[in-house]
Amino acid sequence: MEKNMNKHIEREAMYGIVPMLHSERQYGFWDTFLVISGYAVATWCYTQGAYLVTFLDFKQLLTSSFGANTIVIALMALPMLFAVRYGIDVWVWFRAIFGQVGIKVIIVVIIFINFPWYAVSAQIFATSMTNMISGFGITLPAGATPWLAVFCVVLGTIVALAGPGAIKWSSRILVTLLLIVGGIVVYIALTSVPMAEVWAYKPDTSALANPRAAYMISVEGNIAFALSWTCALAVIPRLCKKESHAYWGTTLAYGFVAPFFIIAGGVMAIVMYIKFGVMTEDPSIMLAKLGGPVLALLSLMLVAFANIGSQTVGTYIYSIVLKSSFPRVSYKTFAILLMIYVGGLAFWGRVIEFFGAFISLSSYIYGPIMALLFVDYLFVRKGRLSFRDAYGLSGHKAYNYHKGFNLIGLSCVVIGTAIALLVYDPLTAMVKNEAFYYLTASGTAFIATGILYYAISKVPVFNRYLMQDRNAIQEKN
Amino acid sequence: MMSETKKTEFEIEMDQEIERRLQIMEEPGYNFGEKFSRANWISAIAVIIFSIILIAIGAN
Repeated sequence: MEKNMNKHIEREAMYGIVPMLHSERQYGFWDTFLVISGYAVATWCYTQGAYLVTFLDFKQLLTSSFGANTIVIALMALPMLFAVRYGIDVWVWFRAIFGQVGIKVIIVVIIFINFPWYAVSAQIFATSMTNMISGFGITLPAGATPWLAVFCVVLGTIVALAGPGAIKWSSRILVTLLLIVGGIVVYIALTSVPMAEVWAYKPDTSALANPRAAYMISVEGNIAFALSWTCALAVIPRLCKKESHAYWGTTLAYGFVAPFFIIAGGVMAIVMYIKFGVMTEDPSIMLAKLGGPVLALLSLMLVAFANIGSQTVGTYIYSIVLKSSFPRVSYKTFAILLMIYVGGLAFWGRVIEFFGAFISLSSYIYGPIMALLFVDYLFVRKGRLSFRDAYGLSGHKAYNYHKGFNLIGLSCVVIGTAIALLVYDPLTAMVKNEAFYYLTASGTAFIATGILYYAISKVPVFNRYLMQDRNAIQEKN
Repeated sequence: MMSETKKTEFEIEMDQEIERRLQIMEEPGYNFGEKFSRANWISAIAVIIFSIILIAIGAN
C-alpha cells in the first residue's frame, strides 16, 4: 500500500512540474478565483489584521491592506502569464535565473521563511483549544499550550502522510470551515459595535518616530503578506485555459478576498479593544466573548480543525515542491522534516510575538527574488525560455552556469536583501533611510534589485553569461 | 560543467514525459489558448496605478 502511495505522490510531483497541455486544462475564471480564495483565507489573515491595527486607524487599514496586497499581486501575476501560456510553473523559469542547483537553494530558503506562517496557525490552534477547555471549567497546567501547538502540527502531518485521498478531503473540509469561520467573524465584527466607533478608533503609535513610520510599517507588513503567496502564485493558473481568467482570478483572490479577511481580523481586534480593552488575533477568543456560548463552542471547534487542515495542506504542497526539486528524497522524509521544523517553532511559541519582524525579514528575501523574475521575464529574456535547458534534459546545459549556480542572480538577491536591511531594521523598528517613508524597505529592495539586474544584463560579458540559452531558442525558430 | 549523476527511474520517466509534451507543444497549430489582450494589459496597469493612489491616500 505504501508503495502505491509513493507512486501516486511521484505522479503528483511529476504533474506538478511537466508542461500541462492546453487540452488537459479545465480551470476557468471562477474555478481559479474560488480555489485560490479558499487557500488564501486562513486564520493567519486575522493575525495580520490584528497586527496592523496596532499601527493603523480603520481608514488606513483599508488603504494599506487593499493597496499593498493588490499592487504586489497585480505586478507579480504578470510573469505568471508565462505559466498559463505554456502550462509550466514559474519555478521552471527560476532555473534560468538561479541555475539548476541554485534554484534548489532558493526553494529551501523560501520554504524556510514561509513555514513560520504554519507555526502561527498552530499557535492559534493551541490558544483556541486552551480556551475551549477552560470553557468547561478545566484549567490546563502551565506549559500545556506549546504541546497543544505541537499536537496540531503532528496531527496535520499524519493526515498529510496518509496520502492524496486524505489531502483532497481535508482540503474540501478546510476550505468550507475557513469560509464559515470567515463569514461568522465578519458578521460579528461588523455588528458588535456601531461602525462610527470603529471609524473613531486611533492606535497608540507614540513609541514610533512619527505617524508616517507607523503607516509605512503596515504597508511593509502587507507587502510581505502578499509576497508570501508568490512562490505558489502559478500553481492554479497553470491549469487555466485563458491568460485573462488566470490573471484576474488570481489578482482578485489574493488582492481583494485575502485583504478583506485581513480587514475583518483588524476590525475584530478593534471591536475587542473597544468592548473589553484588549486586542486579540485569535478569532476563537472574540467569538467566545461576543458570540454567546453555543456559537462560541462551534466556532472554537471550526477554528481548531481549520488550523489542522492548514498544516495538512501546507505540508503536502511544500513536500511536493521539495520532491520535484530533490527527486531522490522521499515525500515522507520531507513531510517529517517540515513537521520537526514547524513543530519546533510552534513549541517555542513566540512567532506571533515577533510577527512583524518575521514577515518583514521574509519579504526582504522574497522582494529581490520576485524582482528578478519580473525583470528577467519582461525585460531580459522577454518571455522566451529554452524549455529543454530549463528542465535540464540530457545534453541541454544552458542554465548550469557555474557548477549549477547563476552567480549573477544569486548575488542580486544577497545585495537586494542587504539594501532592505539598510533601509529598515525590523528587529528594532528603526528607520535607517528616508526611502522607507516612500517605498518601504522591501519595495526599495524590489526596485533596486530589478534595476541592478537589468543594468548587469546590459554589460556584454554578463549578457553572454546570462543568455547562454539564445542559441537553443534560435534553433527552434 | 555540472557532473551528470545516474538518474533514478522516477527522473528518467519524468524526462521522457517532459520531452513528449514539449514535442506536442512544438507541433504547428498547437493551441496555446487566448492571449492576454491589450484591454487586459491596460486594466492591469490601471489596477496597479489605483493601488498606488490608495496607499498614498492612507499616508496623508
